[in-house]
Amino acid sequence: MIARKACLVAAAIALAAPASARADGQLSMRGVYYKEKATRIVQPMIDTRLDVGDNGILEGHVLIDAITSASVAAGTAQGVFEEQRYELGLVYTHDLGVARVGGGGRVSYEPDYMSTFGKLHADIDFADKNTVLGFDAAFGHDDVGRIVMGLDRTSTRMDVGTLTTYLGAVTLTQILSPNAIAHLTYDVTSLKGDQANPYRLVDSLKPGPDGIPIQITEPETHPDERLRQAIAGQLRYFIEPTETTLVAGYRYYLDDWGLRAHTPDVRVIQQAGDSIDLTLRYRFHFQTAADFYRPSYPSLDGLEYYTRDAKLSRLTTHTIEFRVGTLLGALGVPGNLADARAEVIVEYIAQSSSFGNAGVAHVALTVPFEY
Amino acid sequence: MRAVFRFRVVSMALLLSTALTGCAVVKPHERENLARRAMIEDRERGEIRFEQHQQGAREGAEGGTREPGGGCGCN
Repeated sequence: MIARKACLVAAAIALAAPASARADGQLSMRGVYYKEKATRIVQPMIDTRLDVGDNGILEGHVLIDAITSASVAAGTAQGVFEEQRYELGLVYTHDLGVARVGGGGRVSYEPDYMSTFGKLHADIDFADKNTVLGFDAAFGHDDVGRIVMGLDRTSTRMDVGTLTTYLGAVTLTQILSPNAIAHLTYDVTSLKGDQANPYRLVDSLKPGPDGIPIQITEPETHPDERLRQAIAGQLRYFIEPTETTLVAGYRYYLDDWGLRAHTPDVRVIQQAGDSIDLTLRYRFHFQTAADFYRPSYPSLDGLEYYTRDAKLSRLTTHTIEFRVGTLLGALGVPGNLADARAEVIVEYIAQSSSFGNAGVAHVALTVPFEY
Repeated sequence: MRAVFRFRVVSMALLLSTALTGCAVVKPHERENLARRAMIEDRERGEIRFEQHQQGAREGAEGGTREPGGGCGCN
């Protein structure tokens, strides 16, 4: 998957804009429902994009993440917990002609975790805008906490620590032909600080006073530092006679916790008339386990780090997605709303990890407007 | 650590070689198909953001998107 910034670059180097771009602004409303064995998420969100003057674009979003989970990771004795996460983000991009530069930030808050993130980006055109090089630098700071329930059932937040994130990325966008465009992104992320889940516990055994093993439970521990790297490529090809677009992507990931991952992703987008498009997608993800991950720990003696975090285990994920998008004009909606786009996405995720399989549904409406 | 360094070198070399190799120059008036929605970005920002967060909570790998995920995704 390539970041939207690269795609904005592609938009900039293309000749004409799609129908919605003739407006000065765009408002997108989306609702997502996610369900797996022990977790349910409902996430309404609003995204907006506004032209600022002749050369600026301001983008913002706000969302609420409402989660209900019986996951043991929550660490609650009750077995089920509910929590809301709130996120707000703003990005400004200024077009200088041969380059686009900008910056932005994002704040995410939930009762036990606060994440702030700032970023600068630049995209520079070469060869009559056939080639675009993009650069990103970002900094993040997270405050990690833990909610503790008292005997009187009141909750208190305890500070656990902080996490600092640095990210650098280089992106190349290259037009290959009138019907093909390629993206290549390399990014490196350095994390320093608390990265273990403060709720997740590891069971083990140790010899008791009479020599009989007794069960002990310890909080998981992760290394304080992690260096993550990923290189991702994507090719888009348009087949003119059938108005079909093929999108093929691949990402290779590695980090210094010993985790390696391969993630190919293919999509077929079929235009049906002027207003309707259909998409079929398949994504595959395979990863090795982190060096210190074990499914179980007979003993913690001599171990510096230990975890039973399923996402650090060896796992595979298969994702199948179907989507239909249409301009409301095709449904007979008149006036300004005829250019609005409605979209429905249905997704099934088969996960080999203990999280189990998941289903996802999106409903979205994007409305262009002038102001 | 050596693998991490080697990966970084290979990635940068791949980026640079692709850029330097170049391709046939496509003139602005030939870019009509490249301006189609499906050729620019067929997925909206909110969808991508949700998927990044969900995958960050369920998979150990992330990246290749020019930005890290947000929130802890602990569950």
